[in-house]
Amino acid sequence: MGMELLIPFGLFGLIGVVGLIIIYILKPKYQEKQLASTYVWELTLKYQKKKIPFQWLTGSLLFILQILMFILLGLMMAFPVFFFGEESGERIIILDASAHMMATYEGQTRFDRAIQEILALADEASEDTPITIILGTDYPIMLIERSTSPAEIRQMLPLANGTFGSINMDAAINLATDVLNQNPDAEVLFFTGRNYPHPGVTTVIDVSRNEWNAAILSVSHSMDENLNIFTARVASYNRDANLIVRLYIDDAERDSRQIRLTSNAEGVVTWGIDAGISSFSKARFVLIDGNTFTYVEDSFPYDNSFYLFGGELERFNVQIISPRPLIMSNAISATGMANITIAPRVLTPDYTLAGDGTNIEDFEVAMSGYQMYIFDGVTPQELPADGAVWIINPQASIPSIGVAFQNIPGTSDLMNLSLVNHPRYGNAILPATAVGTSHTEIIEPLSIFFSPATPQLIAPHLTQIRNVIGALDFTPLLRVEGTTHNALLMRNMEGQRIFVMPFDMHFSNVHGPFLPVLAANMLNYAIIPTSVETLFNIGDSVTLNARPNVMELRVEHPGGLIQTFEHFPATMRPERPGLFEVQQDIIGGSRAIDNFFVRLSNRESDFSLPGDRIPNPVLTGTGTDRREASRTVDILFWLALAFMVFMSVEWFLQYREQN
Amino acid sequence: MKNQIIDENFLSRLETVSMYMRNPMRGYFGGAHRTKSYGSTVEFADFREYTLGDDIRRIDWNIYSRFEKFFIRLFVDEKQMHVQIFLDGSASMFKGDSDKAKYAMRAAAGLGYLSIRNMDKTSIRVIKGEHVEDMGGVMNGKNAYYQGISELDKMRFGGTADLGVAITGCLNPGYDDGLTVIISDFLTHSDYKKAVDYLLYRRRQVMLIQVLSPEELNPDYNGKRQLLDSESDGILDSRNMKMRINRQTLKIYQQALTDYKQEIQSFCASRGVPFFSVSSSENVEKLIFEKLNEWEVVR
Repeated sequence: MGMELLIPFGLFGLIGVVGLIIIYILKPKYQEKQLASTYVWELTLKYQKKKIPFQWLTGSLLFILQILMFILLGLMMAFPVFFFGEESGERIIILDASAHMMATYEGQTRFDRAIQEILALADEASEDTPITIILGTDYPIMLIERSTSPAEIRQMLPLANGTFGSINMDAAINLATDVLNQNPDAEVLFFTGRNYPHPGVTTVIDVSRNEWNAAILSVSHSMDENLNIFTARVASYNRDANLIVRLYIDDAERDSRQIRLTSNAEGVVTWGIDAGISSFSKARFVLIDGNTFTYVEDSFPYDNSFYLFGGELERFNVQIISPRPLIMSNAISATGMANITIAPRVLTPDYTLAGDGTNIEDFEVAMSGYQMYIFDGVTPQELPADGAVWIINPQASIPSIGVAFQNIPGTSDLMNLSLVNHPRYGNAILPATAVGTSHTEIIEPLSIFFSPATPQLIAPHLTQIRNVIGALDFTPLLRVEGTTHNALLMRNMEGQRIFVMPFDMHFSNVHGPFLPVLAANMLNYAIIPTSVETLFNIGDSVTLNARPNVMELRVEHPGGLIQTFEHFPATMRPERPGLFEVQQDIIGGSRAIDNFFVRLSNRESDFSLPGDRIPNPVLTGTGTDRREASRTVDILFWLALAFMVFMSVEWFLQYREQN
Repeated sequence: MKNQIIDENFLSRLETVSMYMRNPMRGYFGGAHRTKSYGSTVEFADFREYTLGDDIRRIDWNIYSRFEKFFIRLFVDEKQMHVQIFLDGSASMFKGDSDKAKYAMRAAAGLGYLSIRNMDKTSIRVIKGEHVEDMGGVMNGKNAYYQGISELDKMRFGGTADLGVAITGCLNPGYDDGLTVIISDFLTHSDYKKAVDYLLYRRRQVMLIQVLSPEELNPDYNGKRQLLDSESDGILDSRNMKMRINRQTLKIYQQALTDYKQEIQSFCASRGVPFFSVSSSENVEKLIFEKLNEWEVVR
């Protein structure tokens, strides 16, 4: 039998008792009455003491009643329930498999310790006392359901593994409820290493020992007047710690900071690094023991390092094939957003258009090894093996993508360009986008030319355009105003992005202010990143994109596990914290390597953190919680009844006193 | 005659009754109280055989002619008594309800007048603290009486009154010579019983009159009260008290008051002492013409 307060904060209502006492202290109590003699009153007092024992009690009855009423109100607000159900002997065991259970003490993790204790209970399993084991993870699993066989439990339980995620207690209790629906008197045991101050009807069995944990909780990077500011938030739980946080940038040790932390305290260390790096690709933060200058040997090593990936842009290799490549090369150089290597293929000065077009094979043009290929005035017979392709003013059809071009009579007249009704933006006037910030939509920068807010900019227009035939798979982005002639089309071909501009840029004003903006966005848009994000939590969904013509993508997990993907975009859910490496062999024999870091939840690192309230099981069909089903008494009604009685008595006494 | 205690109507009504002593006492020569002893009045009482030394002038010769024995005639004796009226002069008799003091003084004056009219000596003595103050000394005759009453009229109530100490320690309490009346509210810790026993020991006839105000008889206040005794020395005096007064408390008060009066009554009855408890809201005439008459103190 026991009592629990479902809303302990309701006890704050008891503050009213203090208020009541203060009121009683402050308020004037006795009115003076001048009498000839108090002799008879003295006698009266003696009579009272004889007649009514505990007169002092009755004298303060009103006050006592009011205090009792406040206590009742406080209790009612705290929602107390009594439960006195006897357990049937059946046990439902919830085994906490969250990350903190991986803390090790004297060579044994909390999880292993819990397994041992559960195995000891397994011997008690019988027909009358079955045992259910639920593995408490983010997605709890019914490991063993109402097993009556100790042997079965002994066989199955060691197969359970701890995770680096958290426990979804609600879901675990829901699984327990399935069993409780069959036997409401079953006992719910929860093996965990965390303190749960509000366990409800669940019996919490603490398997923690004297574990402690030093952790890097989070890191960040920012720029401040050409200084690279790195910060790391660190903490030590269950022990005072003298720590050093060592910073590596691109695998080179840069600096260390010492910090002393009291038990369960957090601290922040900061670095300001100015020299040597204008950008970085990877920063690593590692915890070092400040006394021994070795790696920290705490009970939980999984949060002792942290990775941060910088903003260093990938080096673009752009090949421009054009009779006059300067326009394009200048435009790309003007973006200033990346290390760009322009590999122009300048045609000979005596170049002339021949017949139905110029064969690209006449020139030394590479068809692989670049991230972007720009064909301006020439038409590729085959598409390059990798990289984005931008085809400007094509002179012949391109069989590999199934499009042909056709001259349009009368297109020498000046024609204005207009936005196509884009599925995302429609024909709306879009806000101007700064150069280089748009990674996904190439159409965005065009809006600045159409915005009435920028009248000084001349709307882009052209004079010669060719009709594109067979471009059903292409998405039109720009169109000649008032016609069906598309001026810019785009198509995604298995990770390779192809743009077609069927007009001569030299007979338009597009190369004016328009081209650098468009070029910058095209650079961003050209390469599909392997992973958009570089920092994930355990259990997050990670989407991985392969580079053009990559057949297989390998992910190496922190524990050494290799996972391969052949269909893209691929999705994975990391289950271990640490550095993940994504490898892909691209055409030309090189291997592209990308990284992302998976961190632990700070809650799991915090060993001092008490657990949340454990919900009580709600049995199906009863509308009540499990305790009520097992003869639980909700005393709220009785408290309210007592309150009403006390209030009535108080009123009566008040009335009697005043009359 | 103008004073607050008595008026002519009151005195004229008193003319219709006389005060009687219930027990024969020695008294003083003169006066109008008959005694069981034989005296020299003209009213015949009895015959007695002559003995040597008797006045031969009292021999009844008619009887001698018939019986040839000497008998002398005996006549009724009348004595003068000394009526002493002790009046509680403490603050409790005045504060809270001045009618209570007025009633007490009026009763004292009335009884004094009856005594004077009976040719008795009368003393009105006010008890203040542990002492007694005489108002006009021993009054004999109406002139002295009026003078004494005018002094009484000027008297101020205040302080405490220890009935036991004051009466037992007073000068000239008398011995077998009349009536002592104690007028007080008796709401005191002083030992009035000791005073009564002392007076009885002095073979005085004793009568107690308790005067209570209507508020003392039926308190009309309730709630939380700090009751301040008029004779207390300050707020911290133990006679002051805090009470939560409700209907139940008032019932107990009535019970306590009744018991207290009953206790005085029992004490007095055991000693043959008349005790009267009156309300100051009543007429003094009611006391004199009804209650005292009932007890045959006046007729």
